[in-house]
Parts: sequence; C-alpha cells; structure tokens
Amino acid sequence: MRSKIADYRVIEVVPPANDGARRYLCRPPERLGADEEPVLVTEISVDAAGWRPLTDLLVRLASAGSAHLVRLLEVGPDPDAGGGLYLASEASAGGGVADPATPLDGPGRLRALADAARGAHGMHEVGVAHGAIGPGSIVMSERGALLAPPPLGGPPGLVLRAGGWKDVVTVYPGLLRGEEPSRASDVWSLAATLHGLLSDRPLYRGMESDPPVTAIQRVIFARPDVDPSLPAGVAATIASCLESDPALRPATAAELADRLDATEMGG
Amino acid sequence: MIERVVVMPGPGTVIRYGGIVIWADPSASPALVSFLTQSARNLAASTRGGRQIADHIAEVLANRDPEPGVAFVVMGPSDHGWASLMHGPVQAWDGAQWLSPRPSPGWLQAILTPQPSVTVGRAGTPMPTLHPDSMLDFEAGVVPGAGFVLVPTPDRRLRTGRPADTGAAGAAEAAQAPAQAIPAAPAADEDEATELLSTAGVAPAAQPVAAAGVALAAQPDATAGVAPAAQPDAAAGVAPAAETDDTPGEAPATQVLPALGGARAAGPLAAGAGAAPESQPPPQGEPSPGLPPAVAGPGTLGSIDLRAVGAVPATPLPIGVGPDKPVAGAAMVAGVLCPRGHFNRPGTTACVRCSMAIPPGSADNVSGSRPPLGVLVADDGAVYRLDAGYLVGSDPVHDPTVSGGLARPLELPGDNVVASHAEIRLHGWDVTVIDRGSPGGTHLFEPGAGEWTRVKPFEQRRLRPGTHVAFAQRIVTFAAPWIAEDTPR
Ligand SMILES: [Zn+2]
Repeated sequence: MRSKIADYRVIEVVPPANDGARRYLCRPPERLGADEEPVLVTEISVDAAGWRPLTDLLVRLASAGSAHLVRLLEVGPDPDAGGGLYLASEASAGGGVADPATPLDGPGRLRALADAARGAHGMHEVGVAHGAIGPGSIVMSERGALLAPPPLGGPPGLVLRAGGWKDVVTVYPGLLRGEEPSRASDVWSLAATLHGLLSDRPLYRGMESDPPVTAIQRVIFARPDVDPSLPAGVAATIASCLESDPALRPATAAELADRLDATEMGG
Repeated sequence: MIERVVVMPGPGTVIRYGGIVIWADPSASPALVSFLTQSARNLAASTRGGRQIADHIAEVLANRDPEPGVAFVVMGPSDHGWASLMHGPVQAWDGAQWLSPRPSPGWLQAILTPQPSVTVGRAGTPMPTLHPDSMLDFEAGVVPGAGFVLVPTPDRRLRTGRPADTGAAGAAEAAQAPAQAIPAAPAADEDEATELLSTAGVAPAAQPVAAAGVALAAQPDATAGVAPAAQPDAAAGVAPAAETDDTPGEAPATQVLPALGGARAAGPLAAGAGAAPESQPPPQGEPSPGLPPAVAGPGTLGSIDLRAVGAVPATPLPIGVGPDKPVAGAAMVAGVLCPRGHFNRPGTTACVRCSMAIPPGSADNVSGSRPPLGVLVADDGAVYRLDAGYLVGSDPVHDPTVSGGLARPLELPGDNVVASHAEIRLHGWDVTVIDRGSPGGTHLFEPGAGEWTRVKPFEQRRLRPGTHVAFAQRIVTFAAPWIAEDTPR
C-alpha cells in the first residue's frame, strides 16, 4: 500500500469502485487548511496528452454551483504513480446510497435520488455529462446525497469496466452503442439507480444471473422492465426516464428532481 | 498588447494565450507544461497577467524547485512593461541587452522593455533576427518551438523602465546593440531599460534574495514561523503599490490561476483566483500577531486548487441526447437521416439514437461524419467505444501504430497474447479485424456459427455484430446497434 500520494498521508485504502481507479482515505497536507479532516484521494491514470483536457474538465466541474456534488479540493501530478494525477475530494462519512451509514427509508431514497439529480444538473449546466451514475457514485453526507465526480482518466475509448451485472444495469444503452454520455443518459441512469434502490428485482428480467458480457448485450438489445409492485407514482416517474424516445423523458435532471420531489411513495 | 508572436522552429514548446507567452524546453515534464498552459489560459485576459504568473511561480520556486534544470520563460503584460520569469538555461534579448539567470540552475524575474521586440530561447543557441515584414504570427495555443519573438504593440514598446537592480545575485549582463541585429554573445553594460526584479540561486539551498516586491515563500524544511520576515503574505503586503494584485472582490470571475501547490494560501495570486486564504493558527511557540497565515510546506508543482475556482466559461449540455456529436477525425460516410436529424447506417429502419422510424428511401445517401460503430466488450468486462480503431495486444502502447496515433491501445494481457496481436479497424460502416501474424492466432465465433474459425494472418475480416473474437485465449465481443444486412437475427 502507498503511504503517501503527493503530500497526502494515506490512512486507508478505499474499496475499489467499478471504474478501476484506486482510492485512498488520506490526511491532507496542512497547506490545504482543511483541519486535517480526512479527504478522498483518487489516482487518475492519464498520459501527458490527457493532462490538460482532464484538468480543464475538473476546473469546469469545480465551477459547478450545486451543493449536491462531491466537493473537489485539488488536482495535481502524482509522479510516484507513473506520471498520472491525483484528485483530492471531500470524503463523506455517510456511506454510499445503497449502503448508507444511517439507513434510508423509501422516501429517504427518493430524496437522495432527487439530490443526486440536482447534482447531475449542476454538472450538465457546466457542460459535463457524468456517464457512470449508479449506486456507487452517490454518497450520503450532511448536505444530503452527493453525486461523485465522473470516472476520470483510464485508457482511451474505455466506456466502463463491468465487474458484474450490477455495474451494467444502470448504464444507458446508448453508451453501449458507442454514444457519448449526455443529459438524457444521466437521467436514464438516475432512474435505473432509483429502481435498483427500491425494487428487489433487476430492471431487466433475468439479469441477476448474467455474466458481465451477457448483461451488456441485454442492455443493448432488451427493454427495461419496471417492477410493477413499486408504488404507481414512483413507477411512472422511473418509466418516464426510460422511454425509448428521449423526447418523452424528463428533459433535464432538474426536471427529474422536481418530479421526484412531487412523487409519493404511497406508504 | 501584442502585435504578434513568431515561433522559432526547433525543440521545445511555445504556449500563447492572450497576453501570456511561454517557452519551455523539451525536458519540461508534461505536468509543468500543463501547468504553464493552464496558467496562461486563465490569465490570458489579465492586463497584468505576466506579473501575476511570474510572481506566482517565483513563490513556488522559493519553496522548492522541482525541475531545476529545465529551461522555461513566462512573459506577459504588467503595469510597467513585460513581466517575465526566466528559469534555468534560457536567454532573452530585449533589443538592448541579454538576460539570463545566473547561476543556472536558478531563476530571474525581470520587467522587460522590448526595443522593439524580445527574443527568447535556450541559453547559448543562436537567435534569429526577426524580419520586419514577416507575416508569421502565433495567436493562441500550444505548439512545438525552440523559442519565440514577441512584438508588442507600439504603446508598450517604448516605455522606459527604472534602473536595474543589478545587486541581486549578480544576474544579467547587458549589451548595447543595433535594434535589428542581435549580438552573438552577451556582454556587460550598466545602462539598461530592462528592470531586474530579483534573482535566486538554486532553491532551496540558496537563500532567496527578495527585491522589488517579489513575494518569497518560506523555506520548506524550516518550520513555518522560523523566518517570519520571509512569510509570503508579509512580502506581498510590502510589495510596491504599483504592482499590487487584485483583491478577491475585484478579481474577474474568469481569472482562475491554478495554484501551485503550497503557494495557494500564500500568494496574492491565490487571492486573485477568488479564494481568500484560510486562516491558520500561528506556528506554535511563535506568537506572531498581525502576521498572515504561513505556508506550511511545499505542494507539488502543477497542482491546482479546485476550491479556488470561480465561474469559468462553459457551455451547458444540449437538452436530451442532443444532436450527433461528430467524432474527431472520423471518416465521411453515406447514410440516412432520421426525422430528428440523427445520422444512421443505410438501411436502418429505426433511428439507433432516438428510435424514430426512418421511412425507406427518406433522406437516403446523405454524407456525414461516421458515428461510433458500437463497442468492444472484453471478457474482463471492459467496454471500449468504437469511434476509432484499436491495436489489441499484451503491450500495444509501444507499437508505432499506437504511438503514431493510428490506433488506440487495447491492452489484453494473457497467455499467448503477443505485444501487438491484431488490429481492429473501422472501414466505412464496417468493423474489421486483422491478425498481425500472431503465433496464438485470432479466431472468430460468428453469430449462428457452430465453431471457431481462425483468421488468416494479415487478412482483413469484417466483423458482424455479436461476433466473438479470440485473441489467443482472450475474448472480445463486438456489439453494435446496427444489424448487418446479412446477419441472421
Ligand atoms: Zn434519431
């Protein structure tokens, strides 16, 4: 295990997420003036040519004015990791939305997704699509749910790394056809994530026994199937985000957030 | 402010955004070049961007110089001429004198008065004479180059500076020479228009020399507070009024300077970026009332404080899936348009992007930029977008096909997968595979087929959507929204 990333002291390694990036909980250097509060440091694998687009992207993300985004602290070169970068960001003690430190009831999960949708909208307004929204990218905090930054770096052309069907079930099918992430793809993934939090069966029938490659084929060629046992209002909101015609889906993530706010769990 | 910038051919990197012009030698790390580029972009519109970037870098260098041998020069406007910071073995000729940091490695901050231009490059290299009628002009971007000639607009050219402070670490030597011809070698002269602000020797061993408003940060190993006189903000506070930097409230929102590690909370520039320095308790045992916060240690050169980012120009994403986003460098192909204008493969009956029906024969054979042709799904769950070709192998990065930019690497380590095993190419609307004569071979399992078939070496084979491709023991599946005409489904 690394003991330092730049001048951040590693406290512990964070379990890997599906983007393949290594993350560490670190004690920040004093110069950050962050009261020694632990921060999350992510290794970003990027070659020299990718440095500037990536820092540009992070600067734009940092300029997004949403309280429901994980706060970005610093990006810098990580010479001990082969010339890549590190990203220091706010560490949230509240756990992931699917595994929160304080259990969430149904309305709490709706609210968390509405928060994450507002975070996504903030990103979209500065020209960034997330492209990998799922339960692993939404964390709980004192400010409600926060959307984590999108996957950064990695080999050119990589769309995602699927370790299992759960990494695939929230992916917008267009991304698996080669499309770039968009507002619509993030809205889709938010709804698919909500479905996963509220229902005990996958959004695509039979997917729970799929190996990753089969799950990917299923997302490309099958239609999602919203659990009919969900409260009608929630099911309708989710289904509206999964329309095959994007014109019928909420136009923006903010619109989805508003709809979620107005949605009753119906007990 | 700048009439034009002429790039000198040769090794190195020339960066220009707005009033900021930078040269770095080829040994500069990507992080350094990226930092310099980012800083230039962020300060492009500032009327004193040169002073801001030079001061900022000087502060960081005073803490620690991560790349002491690297030659680079940053230059840009300030209130009194062209502020510059020269680092390492560089030379600048302002029409009247040579400037070069001594000793080298070391650096030099100076206000230059181009007479009428300033020429910058590696120390000891011959400098070209700028032809007065040259049409060459570099407006913005990052390009290769061994140096540059900066020609300011006349109002900046003839300004006279203050007498030089040559007492600082014995820095520059000057030479009187005709304005259009550059002397072959630097020679000494006292009478110079260009003003030296400070020089410093090797950091951090040498004691930095503070002069004329340069904010010098504390030495990294000395614990903060040992040398209160060298506290950066204190230094900034006594800087000449003429060159004081923007206060947070006055800073234009778009002026984001990436903070260089430890200097963030220290320098006036960090304040210029819109973030007030956070208060820190005074160092223990050193009650220093009235002293500004100390720099506790060096950061890493090239780090950007994302908390200091204000509003930056950004275009919101289009609503919905948006229009087709052309793939950079994609081939032009013939296709059909859906009623919403998405470009599809000929013969498609429902738009792959929005599922709108495409009536047969409608807007047929429009030419357009080829969209992504699907994805490759590797057996480890990695999904790669087919908007470019790939070289598949256990070590494809070092193949000239990849290093030359003709294909992306798709790294697939495994027994019998050779370094450059096979290529995936895009051909019109088709995706093809070509085995590179690998010992383990490349095999296809096509939809509806009952067995694997080996691809002949160097034979180009079209992949039908759903085909599994085995590179030795590793399997990659081609998935596409397009259903090939002859694909049974
Ligand atoms: Zn369409």
